Amino acid sequence: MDATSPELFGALKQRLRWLGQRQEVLARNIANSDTPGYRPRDLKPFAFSGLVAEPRQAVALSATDAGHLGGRRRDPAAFASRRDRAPYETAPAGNAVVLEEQMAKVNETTVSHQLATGLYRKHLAMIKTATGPR
Amino acid sequence: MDDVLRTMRISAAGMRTQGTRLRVISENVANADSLPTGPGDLPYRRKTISFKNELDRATGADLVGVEKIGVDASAFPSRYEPGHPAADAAGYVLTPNVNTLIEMTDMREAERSYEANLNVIKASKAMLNETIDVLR
Repeated sequence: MDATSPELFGALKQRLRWLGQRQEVLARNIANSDTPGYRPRDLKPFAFSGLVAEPRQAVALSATDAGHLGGRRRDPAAFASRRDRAPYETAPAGNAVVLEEQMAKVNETTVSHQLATGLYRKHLAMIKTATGPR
Repeated sequence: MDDVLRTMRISAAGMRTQGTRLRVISENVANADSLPTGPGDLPYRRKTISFKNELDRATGADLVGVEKIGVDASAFPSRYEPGHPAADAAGYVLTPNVNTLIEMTDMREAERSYEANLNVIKASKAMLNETIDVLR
């Protein structure tokens, strides 16, 4: 494999994006841990196919008149999220957020992020060694 | 990067609502002995707070907010105290419908949720720092 391959950087970038977005979803769950009827969400697992698929292009509706509504366009590159189907438990008020479960997920995300940035840095150091003056 | 910053915004909103909840709890605890001043008057009525999910249009994030601060409609307990100025003909005084034990349990729960939000902010900050460290 070519050491300067951009694929690895691309894959790591996608992974970091996924982790960042997952952190946002988990933060929303924890912030709503006392909201009645709130069901926790999580991102769909990071799949290999997401790395090789052609990124979809964002197409916006053009507004040719002042009265046209722009609308809130969903980021096409955003990863899909879904409701937790089998939460640990559901409170009588309908809230299914379990703080311990969510905190474990946050921790998992942070550690994975550390791993990804660590790999990124190692790879960068390798390229620097190859291109360096000595 | 935007996601992580938004994460912090969401957690901060969660902390703010838990702070409001704590304020309501402290009002209840402080007024647990606020008896009526005259006959026919009502004592302090316990306040309740409920949360809801709301969309922040500036960032496109779902934040948590206070839905409303309401009152607990449950009946007032009464106490036999014929010498009290607010006592009725039978000598009973209405007391606030605040149960200190419930308020304390609620307070612990608010504390725990606040901590959880704070930990998410800490974790997000660590992630941001990791990313910035790549540049070094």
